[in-house]
Amino acid sequence: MKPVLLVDDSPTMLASMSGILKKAGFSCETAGTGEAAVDKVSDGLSPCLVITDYHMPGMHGVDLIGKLRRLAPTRFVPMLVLTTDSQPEKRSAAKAAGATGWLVKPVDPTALLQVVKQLVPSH
Amino acid sequence: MTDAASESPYPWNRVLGVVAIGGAVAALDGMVRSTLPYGLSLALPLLEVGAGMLLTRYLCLGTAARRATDRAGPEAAIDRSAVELDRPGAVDRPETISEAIASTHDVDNPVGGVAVEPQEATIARAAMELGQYRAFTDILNRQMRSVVELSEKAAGSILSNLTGIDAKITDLLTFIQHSGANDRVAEVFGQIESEMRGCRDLLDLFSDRQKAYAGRRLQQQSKIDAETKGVLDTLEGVNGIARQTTMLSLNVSIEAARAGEAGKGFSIIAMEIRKLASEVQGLSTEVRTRVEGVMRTVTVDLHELSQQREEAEREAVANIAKALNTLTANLMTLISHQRDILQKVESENVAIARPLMDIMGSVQFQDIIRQQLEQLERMATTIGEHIEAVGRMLENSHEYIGEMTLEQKIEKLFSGYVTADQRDVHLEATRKPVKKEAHSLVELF
Repeated sequence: MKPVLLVDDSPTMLASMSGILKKAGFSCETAGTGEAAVDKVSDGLSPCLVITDYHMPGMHGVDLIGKLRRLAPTRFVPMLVLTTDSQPEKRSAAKAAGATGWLVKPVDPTALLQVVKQLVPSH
Repeated sequence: MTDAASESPYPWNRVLGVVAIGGAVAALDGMVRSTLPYGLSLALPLLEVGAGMLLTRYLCLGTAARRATDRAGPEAAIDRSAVELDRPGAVDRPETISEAIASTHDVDNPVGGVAVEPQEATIARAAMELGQYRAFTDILNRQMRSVVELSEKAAGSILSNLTGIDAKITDLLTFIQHSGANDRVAEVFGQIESEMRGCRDLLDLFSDRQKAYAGRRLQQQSKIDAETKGVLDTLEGVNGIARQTTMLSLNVSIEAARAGEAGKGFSIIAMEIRKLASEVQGLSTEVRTRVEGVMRTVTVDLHELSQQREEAEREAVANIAKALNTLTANLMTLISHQRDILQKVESENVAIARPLMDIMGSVQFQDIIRQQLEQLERMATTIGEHIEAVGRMLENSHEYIGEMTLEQKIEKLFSGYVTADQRDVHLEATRKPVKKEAHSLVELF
């Protein structure tokens, strides 16, 4: 079963999201920065879904999505942006970079699982 | 007394500086109030102390007020309105005003009054105070970082405990499901049912054998009856022969009597023959009686015993069958109860899982607060740097603080806000129209 890749500079967010997804039966891999996420994929990680924060030190979430879209293991993997920011311009930027969806924090666990199961129906 | 306030000019850059400080404090106050009640208790007193001190010193251009403040200390400057000290007729703490008046001299009026110190000293003093504002922002930033660390630690502890609870519940449910799984129960029930079916088969076999035994017994009874009848018939034949023998002996006796003396021997023989015939009849009757007695015993007594035994056996078999049925019914009740328990446990697990998951999601508040506090930290740093630069400008009029005013820098920070609430609060604090943003929380492109 392929894992879900969670990318966020907040340890609380990583723990919260992975707890919710694991309880629903998903396995998870986490990364604290965009660079770490790219390294994991380059080293062979093949996730079924990527959920990334928008605002991160160093590589932003949108930049990360753009980079992952150029890597073979994640070229066609669904990618969600999870962020506190709801500005339309940033939402459009994420969509243009290749994001599959947009989630505004704090995200309801039920809504999150609904979206994830919709994107990964084979799980 | 010279009116220090009317004679002291207020350069416009000082006024702008005061307005900028006031605006910055107002904006920062608004942000902190909306973000974190606990941060408010830490941040606001510091801000108000610093702002009050700066405004007091900046506006106290009268010599008397400044000297009185210097002697009374910073607390006295905070306590009273800075503007009132420079206005004629102002009423304040007598001891401070008296000291100020007594220690000053007026060039035009040597008795009482206030003397005006050179502007450069005033500006230098204001610049020094402005330069010290940075210390307050550093304290504020450290306090906010401390709040972030504490809340992150608390959120981590909550999640850790929740994960532990969830694991325990999962273990318990797995154990219950494994020990009371419907498949397992069905398997055991199947085995029991199979055993009970075997018992019923044995009972049926016993019943069949009982019937067969009863049939054989009837056959044997018939045989015995037939044999007995044969014996009685034979005895009847013997009785007939005995009767005929008796008749014959009578006839012999009659003929012997006719024969006279020659027939005496025949009379005796005839008499003996009659005796024998009589004995035979007696024996025959006795045999008949005994045979009939045996028949009665076999037919009546054994038959009754046999019937009683069969009846008892049938009753026992019926009781066993009834007990088996009761056992089956009890097992079904037990299994049904077991299924009810399993269903209850599974439904309660689902009911518990939802709140657990909601709590896991709710700790995301910590990340939102972290981002908001980081934004406040950037604002506080921007304000501190700008005020420090204003102070340097006061000391050296050639010092260039850049084209952007503090207000413009704060507006620039607007674009760095990470939530709609932050933007709304900023607009409300700066008395601009609030645009309610319509957005969905979940969206797939």
